[in-house]
Amino acid sequence: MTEPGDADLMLSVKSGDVRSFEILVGRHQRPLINYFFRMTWDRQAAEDMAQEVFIRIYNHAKDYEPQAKFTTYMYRVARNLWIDRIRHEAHAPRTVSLDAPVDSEGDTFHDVVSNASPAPDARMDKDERAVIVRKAIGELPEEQQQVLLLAESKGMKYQEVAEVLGIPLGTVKSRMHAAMQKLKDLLSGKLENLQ
Amino acid sequence: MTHIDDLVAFVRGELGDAELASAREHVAGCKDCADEVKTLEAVFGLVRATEIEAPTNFAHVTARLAARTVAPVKRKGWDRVAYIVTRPIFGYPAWAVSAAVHLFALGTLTLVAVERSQKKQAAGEKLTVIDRRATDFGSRDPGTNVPEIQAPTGEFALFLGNRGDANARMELLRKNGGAETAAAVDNALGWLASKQEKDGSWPADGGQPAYRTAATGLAALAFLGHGESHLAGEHSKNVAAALGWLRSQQGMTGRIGPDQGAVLPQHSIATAALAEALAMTGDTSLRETLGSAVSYLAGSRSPRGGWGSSLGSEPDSVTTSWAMTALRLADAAGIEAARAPLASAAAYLESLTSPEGLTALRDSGVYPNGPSTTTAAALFARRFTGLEAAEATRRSAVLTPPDGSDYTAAQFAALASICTPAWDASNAAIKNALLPRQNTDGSFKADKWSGYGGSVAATAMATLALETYYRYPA
Repeated sequence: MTEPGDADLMLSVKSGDVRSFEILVGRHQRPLINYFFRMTWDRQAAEDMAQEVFIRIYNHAKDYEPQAKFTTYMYRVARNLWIDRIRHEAHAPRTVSLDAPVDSEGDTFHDVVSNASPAPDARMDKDERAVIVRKAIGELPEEQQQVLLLAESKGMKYQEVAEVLGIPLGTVKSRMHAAMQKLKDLLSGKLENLQ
Repeated sequence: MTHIDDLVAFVRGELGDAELASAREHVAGCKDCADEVKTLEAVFGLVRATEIEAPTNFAHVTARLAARTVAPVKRKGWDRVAYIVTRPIFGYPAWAVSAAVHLFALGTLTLVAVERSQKKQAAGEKLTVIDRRATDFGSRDPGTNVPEIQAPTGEFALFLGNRGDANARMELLRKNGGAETAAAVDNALGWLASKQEKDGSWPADGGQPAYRTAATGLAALAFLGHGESHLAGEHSKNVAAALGWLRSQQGMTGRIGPDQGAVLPQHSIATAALAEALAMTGDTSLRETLGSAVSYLAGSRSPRGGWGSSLGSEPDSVTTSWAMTALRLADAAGIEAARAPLASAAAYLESLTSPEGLTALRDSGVYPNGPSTTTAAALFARRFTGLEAAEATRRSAVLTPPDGSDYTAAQFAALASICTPAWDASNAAIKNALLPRQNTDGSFKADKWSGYGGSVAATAMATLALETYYRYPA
């Protein structure tokens, strides 16, 4: 017996089945939380926004058309939520906040940097590596960042990224290419230590 | 040698079968491309390494929250609630919409209205309560056999509406309150503003320190009742600070205020203030706090459907009336969960109300402090939640005109009697009894409850009584 597809679950949700919705959330929560997390670097904010996306989807389940792939639909809602946040709250922490906790101990960027080993040939620990990678992602232009983060969400293909963002497939390819070139540049010389 | 154009697509597996086979063959024989693939894979690996785990209960909590969100309340005319700020003409902007109105023997009072529509409550938008601290109180609903409370369509149907119409407000003042009342309210609000502490709260000065939540909630309601919110108005900073303090007092269960003593009256008053602010402004930043507060209130009902002073205590009609007021306001603010408990609460009040309309405190027919306050509180709460106008009129015959010894009773009597045959007597009594009790600094003399809430609560309650003309009238 195979598991029901996303579309089947959404049809059940349309008829009020909360259990089906819970399955959908369980299936997609991790990539969605990470999509927001990589834009905010704030776990709580990411969970809050992911939750809001799911609640919006639930509240508009009656409007869901099974012709649309669920993840495409979900990331469109997520994308719109993110745009709403940027517009209305003027609060889009796309770069690493120096005072935001960056590790499990609650250390800030300042803490990590100030405590980092000065030895250039030493392999960086996990927290230092995370800070540097986060900073590099945060320096990408918005349009490149969106393509990268969507593509990295549960292995989303270029075509689906294009549908979510409403841009041509070729644009997705070029932005992805540009994003990777920039990341390479930003991280050049550090890759060995970062790995 | 021609290198691969898009190694990113190659690494990500985006190439078609034919392209992929060709690319693999090329990379196998090209050191430059092989190195580039290795680099790209490393970069992708670093990006993926930033992934975090989802919380283990995320799906369950989210599904439960989603299931609790429902379509917006369809209120006839309520969606266009407008918010008006009234203030003296000096110093306010030229774009204000109405001009001077001359009043009474005491001189000229000029009011100008500034309309602020509730754009945030866009039509059709579903309202969501994101309540991560919600507890599962729903199973305790004792009101499943009671018809659902409907949004009022008669009296109080224009809830908050007359705050949004300067002309209507002026007419109400002219006919009922007069310039003395308007001045008394202004002076009282000025005094309250002067007594607010830096953290946004008001002390229960002269009362018991534990009643700070009630004092702060009542003071906030007095400003809100005058048409001032945390977003606009002469005392907007005071209101903002008060709401901020109330929010800061909310615990994990959603309760606002202390967990001992008069827990639920204080929580209800605080909830009412937050709800009224949200209903007036549509400021969604208040919604989460209010949703939690409503959840707590809904879950703290007694099995009889009413509320007592604290969890597990015997319910009483006055606390129940406060709780119903808070829930009705929250309902008006779009917190859908606020409506369900109203049916059983109404049934509880009815169980304490005699055929004539007298409402007991805890046990039917028993009035330990006399029937006036309990009857007025209950009649207001019932009218506020949809009691038919004809029945309200009939019951108003048993209302007792308030005296100056109990501002809480005066507030409820005014609200219970407005637009009924009892109004003239109540109105006269309010003016005659309350206005002489105002001190020259704007505060009001102590009443029978000042030993609890102090002079701040007394002044706020008296002010609320004097604001009845335009607070919630039809």
